[in-house]
Amino acid sequence: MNDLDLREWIRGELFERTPNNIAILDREFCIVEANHNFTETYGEWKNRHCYEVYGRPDRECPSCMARLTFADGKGRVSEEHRLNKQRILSYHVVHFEPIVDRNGEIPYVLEISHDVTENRIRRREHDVLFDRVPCYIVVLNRDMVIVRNNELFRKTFGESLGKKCYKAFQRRDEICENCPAHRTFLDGKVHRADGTGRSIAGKVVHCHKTSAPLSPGEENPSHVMELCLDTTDIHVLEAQLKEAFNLQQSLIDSAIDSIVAADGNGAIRIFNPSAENLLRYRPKEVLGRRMIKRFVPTEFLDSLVADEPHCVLDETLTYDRDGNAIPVRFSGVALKGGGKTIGSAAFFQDLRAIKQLEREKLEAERMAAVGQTVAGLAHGIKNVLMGLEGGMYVVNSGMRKDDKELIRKGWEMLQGNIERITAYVKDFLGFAKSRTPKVEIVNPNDVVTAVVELYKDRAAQAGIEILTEFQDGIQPANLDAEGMYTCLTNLVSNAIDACEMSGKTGCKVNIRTFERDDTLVFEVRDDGCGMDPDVQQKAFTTFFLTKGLSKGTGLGLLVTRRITQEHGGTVTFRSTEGKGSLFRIELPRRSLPPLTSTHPQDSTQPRQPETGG
Amino acid sequence: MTTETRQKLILVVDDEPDVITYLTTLLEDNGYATDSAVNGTEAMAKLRQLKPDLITLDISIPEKSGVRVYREMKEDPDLAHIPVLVITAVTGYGGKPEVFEQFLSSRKHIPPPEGFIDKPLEDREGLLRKIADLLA
Repeated sequence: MNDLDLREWIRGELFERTPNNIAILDREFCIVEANHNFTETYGEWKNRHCYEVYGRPDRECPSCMARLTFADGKGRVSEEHRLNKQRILSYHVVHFEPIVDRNGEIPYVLEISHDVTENRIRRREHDVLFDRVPCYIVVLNRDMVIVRNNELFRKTFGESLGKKCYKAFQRRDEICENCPAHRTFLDGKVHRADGTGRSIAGKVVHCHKTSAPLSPGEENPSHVMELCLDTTDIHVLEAQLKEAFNLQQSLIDSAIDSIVAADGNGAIRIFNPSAENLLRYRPKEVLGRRMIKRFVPTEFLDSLVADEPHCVLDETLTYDRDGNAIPVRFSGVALKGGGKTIGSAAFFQDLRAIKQLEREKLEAERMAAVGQTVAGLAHGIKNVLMGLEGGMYVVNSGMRKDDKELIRKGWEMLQGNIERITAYVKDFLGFAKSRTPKVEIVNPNDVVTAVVELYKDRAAQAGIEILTEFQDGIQPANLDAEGMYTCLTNLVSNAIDACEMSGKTGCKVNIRTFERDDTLVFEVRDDGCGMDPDVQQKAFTTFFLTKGLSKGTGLGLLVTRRITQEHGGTVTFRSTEGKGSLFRIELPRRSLPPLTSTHPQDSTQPRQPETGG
Repeated sequence: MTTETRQKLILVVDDEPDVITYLTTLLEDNGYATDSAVNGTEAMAKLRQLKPDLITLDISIPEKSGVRVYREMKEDPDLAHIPVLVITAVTGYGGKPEVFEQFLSSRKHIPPPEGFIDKPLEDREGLLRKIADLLA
């Protein structure tokens, strides 16, 4: 192509080929010529005013650049917003150039525009992003001076344009150590660091900073953008978490209860000082090892398998390092996370001291009962001595007067009091003796049956009916069978006496066994003479006789109470004078004594607790 | 015993039949008339009915204890003058009769009993002398 061809091409083709929109306006602002691109962008233009084509049907634009160019003959550039062919508002950069004729007149203005709508949108997006992103953003120059800062930064640290970043961000006078932006300025690479700033409100703000060169790939960037993610909330949460953890840790460490926790594999994760003390293992010997089964009762393992949330055993055994059984109150929980069992925690309360106290209390009560009995016995013996002395006097008096009747009376007194003192001594020896109870697994109803067998005939002779009422399915229990037999013998014997003394006919003695709230109950009820309030008050507390010389020694209820106490239970009564009495022995199963072992206990072998639930 | 002087009447209060037999025999052998009561209620009734010259009073008796009988008597103008001999095996208060005596008279300015004798009777003649003195 030669120069001529080129000039022709420019005249002929350039107008149409140029990627811009070109239009020529006359002084009436009518479009007299336009290129293909213009038509594509704004639509039909022939015989129309430019402002009509751009979406203003009636009048020209308020700040019309073409008018100015017509007036002064100078070219102009301006950004205009116009409706395009699709009637969508779009942004255009428009060049206005005068077309000057030979006379120096300006008959036309050339308008060259291109669409910058896309750019405008990008720019707006960028602005929104820059200001609204939940990060502090600054752009720094090589002097570490802030040349841009976003809205969040301004709100938190104040308007900082022109300030040194460390002054604005940290209120300090020299560059921070470990400054990522500084490193980016040196090597043009992205750097990260954690740091703190101080807000205009004076609060410490924790940040994770990322610095990047504004123009990627630049080795010595002129500007660096620093983005700082506010991690203050995370720091606060972390601090709270740490505090909660410390609190928990110190609670666990200082708990009186022994705490052992394991993960889902049974490996020990928590073993507190109390556990160390109770179980005699060092934490390092158990932590991380699958030893949970060694410490917890099988009931708990069963409850985990059965997916029960917790397991409480008021009294069970655990075993220390040397296999010694330790009585404990146990409580275990399955640890859940996301609906799954992720471990287990076990709490042990050492019952040894309590057990010791219980034993001491029992012994003290027994001694007190003995003391009361000795005092009562002294009273009784004095009365017996008085009777013996009286008997001798009456016999002598009768002999002096040769009064056979008086002699017989005196002799009876002597006989009666000798019998009475014999009974005292026998009963008292039995009472004061510290008999070791033999505890076996006993069916409570069997004891009652044996007692009924003993008294059946005597009661029948006196016209008294003995009835029994056994609750179905009553479970065997750890009892000293002989002791319970003695208790019930005393109560039934008293009941029969009360019936006889009432003078009523057709009296009944009712013996019931039942279980309530995990407590084994024996009841002996009679509809005999009952007790007046005086007698009721003294029933257990003193050595008290209501039945005259021939019956008993008054030790029966004391013995009954002592044996009941040895079983960890209580004996109580209700009585109405003239209507009858109800005596009740209550034995909470958890307080029942352990079985008397028949052979020396093998202490190294953990054994199952004898009583369930 | 002269027919002119009426026999002195002594009320024996005790719940033990043996004690009653013993004391009534002893007292009758020594020239006194006797009656007896086995509990507090009966004792009060007989005191009012018979106006005895002296009573022997056990402390641990049913229905109304000897302590109550004693106090009731001493507060009753009709009975307050009757001498009371407490004869008891009660061994409370450290076994010291003086302490018990104080307790009996501790309220409402009730005087102590005229005599306090421990069971069994260690000095039978002493008891008889005491009764004779009180009835003189």
